[in-house]
Amino acid sequence: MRIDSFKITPEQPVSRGSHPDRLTALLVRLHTLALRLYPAAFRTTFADEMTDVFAMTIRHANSLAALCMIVLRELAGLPIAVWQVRRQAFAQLPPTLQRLRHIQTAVRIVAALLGIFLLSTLQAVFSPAYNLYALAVPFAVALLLATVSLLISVLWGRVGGILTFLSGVAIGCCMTLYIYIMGVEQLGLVMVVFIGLLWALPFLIFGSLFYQLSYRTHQTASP
Amino acid sequence: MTEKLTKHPLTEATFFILLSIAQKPKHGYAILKDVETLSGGRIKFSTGTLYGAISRLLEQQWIEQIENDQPPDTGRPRKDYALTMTGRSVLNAEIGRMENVLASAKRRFGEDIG
Repeated sequence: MRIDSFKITPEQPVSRGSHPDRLTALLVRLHTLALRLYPAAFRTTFADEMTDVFAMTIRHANSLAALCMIVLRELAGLPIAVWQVRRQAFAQLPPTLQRLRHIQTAVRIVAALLGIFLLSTLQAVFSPAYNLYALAVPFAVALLLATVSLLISVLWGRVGGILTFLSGVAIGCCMTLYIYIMGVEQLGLVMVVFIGLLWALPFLIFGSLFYQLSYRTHQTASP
Repeated sequence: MTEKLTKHPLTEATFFILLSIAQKPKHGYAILKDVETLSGGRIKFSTGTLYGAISRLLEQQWIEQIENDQPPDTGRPRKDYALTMTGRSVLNAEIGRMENVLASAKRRFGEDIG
C-alpha cells in the first residue's frame, strides 16, 4: 500500500476561546520563559513557532478544563522535551567538546555541593549567636565571597572562575595575616604561609578549572 | 538506504508526523491537530515534544522546512514542513513493514483478527 492512497482527515474547525485574553497572554509569557530551558540554537530556530503554536492551542481551547489539560500537557512534556533536545544537541558536538562538557558538568556539581555546604556553615558563623572574633571577620568575609563566586561559576564559568580565584587569594592572605597577627610563635613563617595556601588551594583549583574549561570549551566550539 | 534507515520500527509519534505531512506540507499547529486526529486522540503533543521531533526529523533529512506564502496572524513568516524523498521512502517502508506484520498475524489467526 502506498501512502498516497491514505485519506487525510481535514483539519477540524476550531471554536473561539472563552477564557480572558489576559490569562492567555500570561500563559504565553510563561511558555516563552520556559523556552529558555532549551539550547540556544534550538530556540533560534523554533522558539517563535513554538510560541505561536502554543498561543493557537490555548486560544482554541473551548473550556477551562481543556485549557488546564493543555497547560498540564505542556508542563509534563517540558522536562522530557528539554532533555531530548539537549541530548540531540550534545550528540552533534565533536568528541573533544563532549569530553570537555562532561568534565565541566562534573566540576559544576562538585562546586555546587561545596558551595552549598560552605554557605550553610557561613550562615551559622554570621548569625548573632555566634561570637565571631573581630580579627577573623575579614577571613569570614573572604570565605563568603569565595563561596558566592563558586556558586556564580556554576552558571558563568569564566567570570565566576576569575572571582573564585581572586577570592581564594584573599582567603589565603587573610588566613596568613590572621595567624601572623595572632602570633602563634611555634609556627615559622613558612608554615604560616603554607596554612594560608592550604585554605586558598580549593578555590584556586576551582577558579582555574572553571576558567580553563570555559575558555577551552569556547575555543573548541568556535569555528 | 531506506532499509538502513528503518532498521528499527518508527515510533508512533514519528510515524504519525510523517503521515500527517504525506499529502501536503503543514505548519506546526496543523501537524499537532492532525496527529491527534490520526491517532484517534491517543497522541497529543506538547509544543516541546512536537518541535523536538521535528528538529530530529529535519536533522535526519526526512522532512524539510518550506516558507509559506500565506501571511499568518502573527506577522512572522510561517514555516511549513514537507516530506523529503528520504522521508517518503521511510514512511513507505514502515507501512510495508506494518503490512507484513499484519499479514503474518492474519496468516496465524485467520482473517477474523482485528
